[in-house]
Amino acid sequence: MKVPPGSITGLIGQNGAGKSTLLKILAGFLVPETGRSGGAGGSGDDGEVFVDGLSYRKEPMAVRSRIGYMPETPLLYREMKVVEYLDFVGKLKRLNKEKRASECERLIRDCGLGQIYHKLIGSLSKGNRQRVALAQALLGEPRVLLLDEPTSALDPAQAIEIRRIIQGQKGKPPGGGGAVLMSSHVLSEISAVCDRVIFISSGEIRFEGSIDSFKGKSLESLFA
Amino acid sequence: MKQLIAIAVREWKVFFQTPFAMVVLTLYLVLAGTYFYASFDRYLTLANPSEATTRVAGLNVTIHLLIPFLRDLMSVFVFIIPLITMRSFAEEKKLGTYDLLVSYPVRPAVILMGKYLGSVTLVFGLLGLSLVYCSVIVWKGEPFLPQIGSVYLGYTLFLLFYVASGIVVSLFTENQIVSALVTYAVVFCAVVFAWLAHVSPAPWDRFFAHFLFLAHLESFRNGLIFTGDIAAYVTTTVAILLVGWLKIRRHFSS
Repeated sequence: MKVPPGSITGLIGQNGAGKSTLLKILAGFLVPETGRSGGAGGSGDDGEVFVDGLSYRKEPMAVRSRIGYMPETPLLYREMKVVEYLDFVGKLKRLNKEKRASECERLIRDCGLGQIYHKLIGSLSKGNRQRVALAQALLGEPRVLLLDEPTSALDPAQAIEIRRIIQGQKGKPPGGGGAVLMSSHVLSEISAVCDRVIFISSGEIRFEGSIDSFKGKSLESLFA
Repeated sequence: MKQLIAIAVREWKVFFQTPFAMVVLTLYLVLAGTYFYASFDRYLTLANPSEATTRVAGLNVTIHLLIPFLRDLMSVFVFIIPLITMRSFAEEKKLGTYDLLVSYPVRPAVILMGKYLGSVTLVFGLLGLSLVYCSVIVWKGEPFLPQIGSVYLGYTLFLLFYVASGIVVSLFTENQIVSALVTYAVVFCAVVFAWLAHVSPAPWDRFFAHFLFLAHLESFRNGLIFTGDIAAYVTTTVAILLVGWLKIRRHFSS
């Protein structure tokens, strides 16, 4: 599979198809044993993951500094305030003080965190926690954004808001070349946000192409 | 370095933002105070013998007051430390925040040492509180300070080892209770090693004696600093941290 620079690619498949596993591999949490994958112009060898042309095996830190990852459920430190949490993540992403401050300011605006900035994460609604999870992924303007079911369990209004934020990432970071890979098992969501789609089933890629060509496919042919 | 401090500071914040911190601190202060009172009371009994008892020869505040107090205090640390370290990685794994932590550009050693530093400084803070009792005796009596220094050196080495054990054990489970129980087992397995050291022929008896983690403290309490005792704690602590590092490093290379 290949996720071209500047694209928003949807990863679709039924439950258990391997979407989250693939994103965890790309995020660096799981190490692949076999197979190959790449992102944002990368190419792969057996058992190796390339992101932005860099090998996870050879340059794990450089790859991680290019990735923003949002897990399926907003797994955040509940006892921290939003402002503390983003500052903490900024430090882990090796941003200096000025950059952390400017990034937090940008994300408050882009992700609509103004009302909840000083609240404890544990006290936030699921929708707001999802925004914070997205904000931590966007912190530091990563070149590859990995979003695992970013709108799952959200009400329609919250889902639309999150989609708007994701669509706003197209062409970012400044200078272009960034890529977004988001998973979902809902076709309407992928259609609304993505310009490309990858369909996987039982851990195998069954389709890879534009969203328009995917709409013309029958489900029977994909599962065959 | 910034990443390491950020992780350590978060550990402190989490600890102090939970009611659990108050429980641990209260428990520590109540038990330490009780042990000090008991040691002091025992010393006064020895210093002022009744008609039925005779005055202890060579009575001094170091051997008959501070050392017994510090020996009792170690039992508090043995009990409390697994409660502090049990949530370190186990809670992150249970909540899923561990997935995010290893996805950031943070080296495995920094993740491990950040958590370790956070817990070690908390425990050293507790150990530092015990200096209040010692300073009262220094103020009012004349303890043999080098021996007290030797005890604190031994305790520092033991606590470094024990906290490392707790942190690394918590890396292998999502269950905090399991994490605490296994950490207790690390210390209490010293009983098994004591038996092995007793029944094994040379040179295995000396090999097993190396793992009598609590027994090593006795030399320090007697004011004797042996290189072997220091090496036992340092090598075991480094070995344990190495296991933890290898465990986290699995996410960084195939």
